[in-house]
Amino acid sequence: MGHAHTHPHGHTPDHDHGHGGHHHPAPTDFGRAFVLAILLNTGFVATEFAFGLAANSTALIADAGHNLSDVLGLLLAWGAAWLARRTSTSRYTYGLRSSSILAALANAIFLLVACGGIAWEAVMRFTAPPAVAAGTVMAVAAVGIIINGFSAWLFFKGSKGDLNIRGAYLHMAADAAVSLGVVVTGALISFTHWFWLDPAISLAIVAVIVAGTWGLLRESLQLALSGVPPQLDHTAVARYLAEQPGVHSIHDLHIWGMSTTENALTAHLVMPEGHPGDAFLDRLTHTLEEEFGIHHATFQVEMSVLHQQCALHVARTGH
Amino acid sequence: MQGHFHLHDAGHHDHSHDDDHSANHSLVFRKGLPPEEARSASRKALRLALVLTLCFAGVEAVAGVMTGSLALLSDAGHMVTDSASLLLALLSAVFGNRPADARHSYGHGRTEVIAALVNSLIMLALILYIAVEAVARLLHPEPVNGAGVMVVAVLGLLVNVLAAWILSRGAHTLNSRAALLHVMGDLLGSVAAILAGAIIYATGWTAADPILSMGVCLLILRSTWHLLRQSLLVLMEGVPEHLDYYAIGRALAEVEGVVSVHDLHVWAMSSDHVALSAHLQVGTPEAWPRILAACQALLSRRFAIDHVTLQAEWPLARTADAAATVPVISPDQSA
Repeated sequence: MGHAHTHPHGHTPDHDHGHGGHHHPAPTDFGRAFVLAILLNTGFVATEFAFGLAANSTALIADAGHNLSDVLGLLLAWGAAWLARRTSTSRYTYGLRSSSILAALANAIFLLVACGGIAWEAVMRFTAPPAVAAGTVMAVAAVGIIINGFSAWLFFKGSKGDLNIRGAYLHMAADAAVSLGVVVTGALISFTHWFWLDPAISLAIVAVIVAGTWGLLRESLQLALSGVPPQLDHTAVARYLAEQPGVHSIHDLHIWGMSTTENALTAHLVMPEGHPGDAFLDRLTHTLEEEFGIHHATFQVEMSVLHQQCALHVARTGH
Repeated sequence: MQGHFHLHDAGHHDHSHDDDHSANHSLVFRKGLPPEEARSASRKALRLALVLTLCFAGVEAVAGVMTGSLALLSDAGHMVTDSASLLLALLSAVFGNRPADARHSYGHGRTEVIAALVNSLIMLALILYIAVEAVARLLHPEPVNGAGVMVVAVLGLLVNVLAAWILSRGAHTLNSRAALLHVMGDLLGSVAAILAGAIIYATGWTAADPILSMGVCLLILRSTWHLLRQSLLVLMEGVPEHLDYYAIGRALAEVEGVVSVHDLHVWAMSSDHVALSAHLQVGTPEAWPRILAACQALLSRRFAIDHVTLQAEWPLARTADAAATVPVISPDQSA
């Protein structure tokens, strides 16, 4: 059954969707950024741990433990980016690409839990006498700013388009901010001896991180719920489809994210004059990819206006 | 066009009643309740169980402070985490019920699946914590008041049995099954604690406590693992476990007038709704309305898939040469 034609979506993630010249750039491969960031952070953790043991400093060992969680966050995002490229099977018919959505969600939850821990500790320090950062801790924090800041920069380019990369970016940027807080408070307290500065600055940093992570949490949750991807306008797509010649109305329009970078669509088109043929559907799929960034579209053409209702009682969009 | 290879005999074609047995594998029909009623029953059960565990946590905390017992207080803490996970399940059952809108074209059914995933992850963390604690206790045994442990454990057992009974009556969704699993874990924990208390009271052998805890951990681990896999299967848009991808593909290819099927996707939108999309090569455009109706009836009756999008294509001259880039399912293909 030799069956191949030019319609622009395939089963295999490796299958080229005809990316040449369309307005949505193909997702960049962040493999090198991941390797570099993971190596740097692992090296940092090992060094911190070794120095912590040598200097018998619990603070350093604790910080090493925290930075280990960064390595885990990076591994998570990298693993998902790798899984997303695997081919589909008869069990996972879309491949494993939605792991990138779960990784972004997990990174958001990780960050928020960490923020909760820091905030709790900061509040405790308002009442108990705070431990001022010693010279070693400040020096380590300074190195942390450089390593985490550099790692964050590696992912900055992809942080706009790919939620999974944004998760890695935010994780690194948040760590750089925390390290910066340690250095600044250490310096300020040694001049002013205002010990309340330490928890106050911690709380301020937590507030900034939570504000930055909130969007990541919301968007990754929306994707995980099979919601319409944030950059897509459900109504605009519905209007475009309903305006096509021969289309009486449309219903059962679903748009969802297969991964953090690829979107799918299914819709039922009511065309009383009959099925318009492959060329018409090919044109629709092409335009949806070019104009809306929807990579995998399936249309059901129906002739009768009174057709069976969507099982989910979806609001009709054929207006 | 009836020249197709049939794996089932002709009597099993889509209008026969024999097909109803397939629908029995579906989550929805197994309990004999429509999805809406199942959800509402789950919500009620969750609410009752939540109130029950919260009340017991309060009683335990007050008794713990009055008697100065650390065991009672820490068990109260455990019950609070139980209440939190029940609350999570309840919230997602409520939000999961909200209808579809322009932001969520499939509705909010997956909230429940995510809650189940989070719940099973929390359970894994808890299992790890208890295992570490048990090993520490084995290495450094601590004196345990056997009689005191038994009294608390019996009370806890009663509450957990009641909660488990309430939840098992309403357990129709992945989410409420997760909550039931959590309560069952607690129930086993109470039984183990009673046993441990009795052994320690009778023989003074304190190692009984950590050994029994680890046994319970292993039991909970098994079911937690299963739940984790199932919720991940839904979130990764996998083919639901009770459905066979190739069987569905072959059944569609066998419908009269269908030449072949490709780009077949079957996935669960929530724990009780299955969606399908596929491309069908058909002989003539004129036959499409009849083929569409036949396919929809087949999918709904035989596989209980009620949310279907089928794209029709006709074989044209250009399909003759190039190699297929997508798997094509024809009637004679074996799994």
